[in-house]
Amino acid sequence: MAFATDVLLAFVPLLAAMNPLGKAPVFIGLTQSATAEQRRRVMWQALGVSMAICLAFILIGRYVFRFLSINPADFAIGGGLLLFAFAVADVLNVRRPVPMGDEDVVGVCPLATPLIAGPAVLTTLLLMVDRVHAPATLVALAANAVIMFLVLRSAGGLMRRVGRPTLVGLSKIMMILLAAIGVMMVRKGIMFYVTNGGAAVE
Amino acid sequence: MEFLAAVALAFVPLFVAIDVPGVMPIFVGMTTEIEDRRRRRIISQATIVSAAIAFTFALSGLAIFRLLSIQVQDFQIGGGLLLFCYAIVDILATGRRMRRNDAAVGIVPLATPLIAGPALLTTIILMQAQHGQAVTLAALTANLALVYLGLRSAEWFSARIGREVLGGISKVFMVLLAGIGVMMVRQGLTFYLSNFTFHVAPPGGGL
Repeated sequence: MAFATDVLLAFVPLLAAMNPLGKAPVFIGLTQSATAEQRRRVMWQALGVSMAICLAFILIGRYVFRFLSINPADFAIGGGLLLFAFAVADVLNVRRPVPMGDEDVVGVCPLATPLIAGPAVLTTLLLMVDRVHAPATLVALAANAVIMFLVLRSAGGLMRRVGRPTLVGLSKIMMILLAAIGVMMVRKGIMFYVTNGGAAVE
Repeated sequence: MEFLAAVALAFVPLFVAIDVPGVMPIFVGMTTEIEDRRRRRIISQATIVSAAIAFTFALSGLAIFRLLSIQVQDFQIGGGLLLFCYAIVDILATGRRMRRNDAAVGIVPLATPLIAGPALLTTIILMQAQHGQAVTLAALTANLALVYLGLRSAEWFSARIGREVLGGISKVFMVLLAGIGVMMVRQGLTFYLSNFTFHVAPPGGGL
């Protein structure tokens, strides 16, 4: 019973940090030109890589950050700028002409990281391992991964029912919102600097 | 009668937020190299998409922003930087003409962030609070009709000016677009700074 409570204690902050529902529109925007087959591949890529990153981070994340002497806010700002660059390149047609190729790795970047396994999720994982404990955190993470999977799969199903022109338009608008997500991450990173000083990981 | 007066009152701020006279030259500048038939399609594309965005927003409020955990000001700064990048690419890429075949300019940057951008979205929220939903929607519809008419008359104008002249003017308009981008970034930053508070960091340091 105590274990179930612990899982719940870790689950809720992780869910808030991961925000699976919020990833659906971005997923739609990024895989607008993909076939159903490619979209499924991108989904598994995003899920697999993001969970691998989370697991690796639970085990050695703190040391990686310390070794590179970066703190989570650095990661947030870097990731945010990257998302912004990604959105700009897409909107200005610098990158990737339609249609999506098989070698495309949007599932890894920007989906798996910095969007799914981003700074918010990684710092929350560290905190939960400390405050609750590792087994409960792992179960909570797995539960979140299942939710993420369900959301992405239903987003894919939704896309099959929407016409192509709508999808193209939607994806352009999503890129503007992706730029805004990038700005939000930079803002939060700067706020972190301002409120915590240039502190390294706790 | 009272309804009409309220619509007129709501109309003006929405008109200022959309700034049709400001969008017209940008539209001309961005479509100088596009043939007339496609240009007309871009006009209807821009009108329809901006209407869809504006109405979705008027009906759902800030739900999509909350879902993505972004603020309107993040959207404003992101959109502003994007417009700036757009202007830079246009001014510098004289040789390559990378946007000639881009049929989506009606969506980005015209429909959003220029027409249905952060200014319009925040004004819609304000008008809803002041005048109610029905009045806001009516005033919004009138404004979107004006957007269509404005873009059509801009097209009419540019069809009467030679391509050479238009090419020169369009560069000037792109510099103005860069200015609009900076203005949006400035407004977003000003909001951040004037609403700055030292938060007690939530779990995860607020990231």
